[in-house]
Amino acid sequence: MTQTASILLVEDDAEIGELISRYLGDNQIGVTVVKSGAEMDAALSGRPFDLVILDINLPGEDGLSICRRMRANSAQPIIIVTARGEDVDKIIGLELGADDYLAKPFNPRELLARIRSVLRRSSAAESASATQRRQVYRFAGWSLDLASRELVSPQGAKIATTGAEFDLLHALCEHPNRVLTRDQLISLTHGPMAGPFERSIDTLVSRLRQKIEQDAKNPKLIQTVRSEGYMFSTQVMKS
Amino acid sequence: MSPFLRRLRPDHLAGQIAMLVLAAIVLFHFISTTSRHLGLPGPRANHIERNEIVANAIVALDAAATSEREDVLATLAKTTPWIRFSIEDEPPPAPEGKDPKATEALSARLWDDAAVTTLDRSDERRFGGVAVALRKGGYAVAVPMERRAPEEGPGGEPTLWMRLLERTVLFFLLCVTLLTIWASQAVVAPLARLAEEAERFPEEGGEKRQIAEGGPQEVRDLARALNRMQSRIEAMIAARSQALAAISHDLRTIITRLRLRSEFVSDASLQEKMLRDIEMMDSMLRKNLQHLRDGHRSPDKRLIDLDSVLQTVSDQFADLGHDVTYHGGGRHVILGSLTDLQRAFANLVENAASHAKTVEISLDRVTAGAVCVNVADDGPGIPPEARARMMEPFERGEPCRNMNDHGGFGLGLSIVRTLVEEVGGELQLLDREPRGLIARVTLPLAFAAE
Repeated sequence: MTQTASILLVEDDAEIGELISRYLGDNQIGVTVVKSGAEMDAALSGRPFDLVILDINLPGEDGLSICRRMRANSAQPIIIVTARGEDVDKIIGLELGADDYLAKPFNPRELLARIRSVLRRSSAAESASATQRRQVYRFAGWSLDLASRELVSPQGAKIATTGAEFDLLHALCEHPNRVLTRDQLISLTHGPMAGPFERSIDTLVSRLRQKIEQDAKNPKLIQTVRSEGYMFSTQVMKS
Repeated sequence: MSPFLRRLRPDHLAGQIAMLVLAAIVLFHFISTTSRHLGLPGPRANHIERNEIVANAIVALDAAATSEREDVLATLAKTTPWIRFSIEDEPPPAPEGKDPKATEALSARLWDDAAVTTLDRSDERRFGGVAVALRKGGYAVAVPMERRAPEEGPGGEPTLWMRLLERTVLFFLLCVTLLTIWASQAVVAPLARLAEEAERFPEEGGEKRQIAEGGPQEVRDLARALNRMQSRIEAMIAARSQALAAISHDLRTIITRLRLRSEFVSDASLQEKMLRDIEMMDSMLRKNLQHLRDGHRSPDKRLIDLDSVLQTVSDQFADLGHDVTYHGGGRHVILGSLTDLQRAFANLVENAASHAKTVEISLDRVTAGAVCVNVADDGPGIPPEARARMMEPFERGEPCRNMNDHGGFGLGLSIVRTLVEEVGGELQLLDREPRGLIARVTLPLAFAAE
């Protein structure tokens, strides 16, 4: 079995570390487990890793402070994992520059999907710096804030979305005015690891249209290209 | 200082009452003294004045020539109608046991060695009539008129009892007025303020606010005691929250292990059951924490598209295999927190879905400024008498229900109510025809209808 990625897991609970590395190992991802920030520094100085999974509650220096420290001088992709399932942690974690956030207890499939999604994004924007990752897309009066994962309507109201809907809109914003096939959209959003309850792209698109189109039956933003896929036909600004 | 004396210090209630009575006495004396000095119609003044009138009249009769006496008498009948003057040749018989002092006041105002005889049992205070021998012959007799008793006339003189009553009433009114002013200013106002501030605790915004210490010593002591109690309660809440955060962190770590471990269970049906239990544990833990956290935090209120919230919640449950549909549409914007609203409606739908097969969410505009969201199910419903109770924390439908079916500590509806009330809304549980329950959430819109 060939490993597709190598991950450094910073987790002080030995059994969780072992279980994650076993699960990810089964999915061709190599995992090195360390127990603290100091051990993490030592491991990172030895060799590069594609991604760091960081627990927030760590003995000694906590995960948020490690994240801030790492972001100061590297674009190392980071996923924060925490048992403190507070919304405020999510915002802080992402504002400190973490690429994604997962609350314990998590579905390992979801962890895998997030890892793949972050790795894909970081390889797509190899040179992207941490600040560029914290961007806001604007289209037709709407804004999509990647850091806080917020979608705000032209009237200034926050729109509720599921994670999948947000990821789909993110993918569309990254490729405006281009026809995207269903397969492309799947790989841009979830990766091939669609869970048993994941909806088809068509369902996601129709739900997203309900939320962002003036008239969902006569869509202007997300247009269907017959027998090909979908096109996000609007001007998208990055800021 | 002895405890008793200490209690009488002016910043204590007892001391203030004592000072107050003292002030009333001083004020009373001041009023009665000034009224006498200013010549207000006091009892003494009337007495003197009458003696003077009688004396003047008699001097006039004495000075008048014998032939003019009738004219003078006629004039006097007009000017002093309450005393009848007449001229007699013989002195009227004097009563026995008369008081020589009775005539002193009068004879002092007449000529020297004037012979004054009282006709009645007059004394210093009561005027019963006098006879005076005139120097030109005859006797001048002054008798009070029957109808106009001295007590009633303008020159009348109140009795001792009347004066006592008058003074008592005046003193009583003074005391009551001062006491009322003092009680409302010094006691009632600080106490009312105290009650108002105690009522607000714990602060909605979560910010600490000390109760202002003012008023008499006792009220200040009470305020200080309340402040100390407030900080003790806050410390207790903080300690409890901390303990809970630690417990929940540890529990989540264990649940995470279980969740990861279950991934390696080869028996599919066993794995499914494990996952369900883990999911239930996690959801119970989360709700408990939500419940304990709610109430002492200030949600960051933003404009929220309510339709997208309902759509998302409905979709999430539909994705999990529940028959949940949302009938709505349009853009209804309310002021609130996105996660709180999602949580509130997810709790309602979860509740409905666990007791019923189909769940319908609908949104209607009830007034120009409010919408109502109905989460209707076709389950067994809740009997009307149990509805209010069901919205309290830790209340479950049936007391001994098996945890396996619907699980939970009975926090769902109480969390929803807290969250809904935080954004100025209201939660009601209503009957649905032919069967089922409607959970109705009424929410104020951010903008009134255009």
